[in-house]
Amino acid sequence: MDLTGGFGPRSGVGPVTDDEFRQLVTTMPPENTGGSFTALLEMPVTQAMELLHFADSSSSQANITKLAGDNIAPPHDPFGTLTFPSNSLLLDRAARFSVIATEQNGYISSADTPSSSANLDGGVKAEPSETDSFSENQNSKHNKRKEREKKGKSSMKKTKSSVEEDKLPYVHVRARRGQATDNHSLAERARREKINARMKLLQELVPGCDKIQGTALVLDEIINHVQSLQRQVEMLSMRLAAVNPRTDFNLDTILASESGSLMDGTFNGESYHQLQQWPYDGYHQPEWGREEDHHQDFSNQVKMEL
Amino acid sequence: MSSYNMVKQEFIKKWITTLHILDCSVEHPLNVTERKNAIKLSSDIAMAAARSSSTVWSRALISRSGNKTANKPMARRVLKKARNRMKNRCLTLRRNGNFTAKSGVRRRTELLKRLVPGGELIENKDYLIRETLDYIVYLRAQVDVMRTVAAVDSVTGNLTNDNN
Repeated sequence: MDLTGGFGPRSGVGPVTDDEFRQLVTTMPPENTGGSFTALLEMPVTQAMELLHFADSSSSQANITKLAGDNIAPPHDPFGTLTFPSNSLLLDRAARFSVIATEQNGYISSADTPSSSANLDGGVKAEPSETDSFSENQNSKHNKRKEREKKGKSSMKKTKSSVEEDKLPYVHVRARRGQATDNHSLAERARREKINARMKLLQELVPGCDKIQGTALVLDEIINHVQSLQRQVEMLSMRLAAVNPRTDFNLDTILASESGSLMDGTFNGESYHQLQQWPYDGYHQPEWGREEDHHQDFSNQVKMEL
Repeated sequence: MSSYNMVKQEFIKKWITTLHILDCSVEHPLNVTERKNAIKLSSDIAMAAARSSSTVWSRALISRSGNKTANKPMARRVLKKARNRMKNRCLTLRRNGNFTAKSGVRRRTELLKRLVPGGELIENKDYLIRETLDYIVYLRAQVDVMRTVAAVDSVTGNLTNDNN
């Protein structure tokens, strides 16, 4: 089974990535501390969305090279395919951001980066005060953002080395100090960097994880978090079972009150109306169930019951 | 308008569906434990369904729940598709056997793989972390919704009992 296929196009039922990206890009305050990547954040939504989606690479590459200036080597796809054979789409993404990443890394090595990264963090962390109080939402948006950023970094070294490979007949790859220059170890390093990037995302999603250094401890925290969430589900379902004499709760009243608490003050008239209506519409067709007739039966049943 | 709210809405929609179906297809179990299992099962299926089966964990959760509800018609219908997908992968895993790891990161990733449904089927650590991210978001949505429902229930429980 191709796992990667699942992460490509999203359906409307699983609204995790696309809307978050859109909202993130529109609500994120512009950062002016230099670096082409932060300039990327100021780009208009459509352009940024092109970069994020697996769209055609030509137009976005043009944008990137425009942004990054002319001292950046263009991404090398043939070399990339050597080390990322699994997903060409991921590859495209990484290649596109490699030009940005070279700039970004240059900034990181210099002294004024703490300010830029701090500004980035500050800019993103200012979001929760603006929007609603669900930190998970912000964090996952932030995560996907940083995920892109770090993904670019991972192919940075490869593009540098690939540029040198093109010039010389021998494989003279200039690596970082104290690190092997093997093809395999390069791939390993790139992979590790990607994983570390994702770990940082998880760090932000799991509360209280920012100060921990080291992959193992972060993984510990994540495991604890997942375990505690699962235990909470158990306890809450036990509680719900204890309160109600039957499994079929009185859902009308619960819905009415829940819509209020969910909307959290930003109470849209139309969304409430939508909530009221949908139990009686045909249910939205889930991906896995192409049984239209069955769902129609159940909706009729529900109408009769309620 | 935020996407987290949308996640919760999706979850609620699916949960109500599955609860109704479960309730119709089963003679009323009076035992608290059975009720709790039914609620948890329905909410798990709802959570996985809300994620639209484009993630590994949602498919794995659905197929895992299928074993528990073998008699229930809804589950069988719903799970047929997802279960076939997961079956092949599970078989290959069982054949490979278990490898216990001692060093820190390796051991913890295996632990994480056991926690996240379907995690054992993911070889690449990269995808495992992505799945975990997704799973945590939806798990939190589930917890939030259930907590709200429980809070409301404790308040209105007396009223409904009186009406009945």
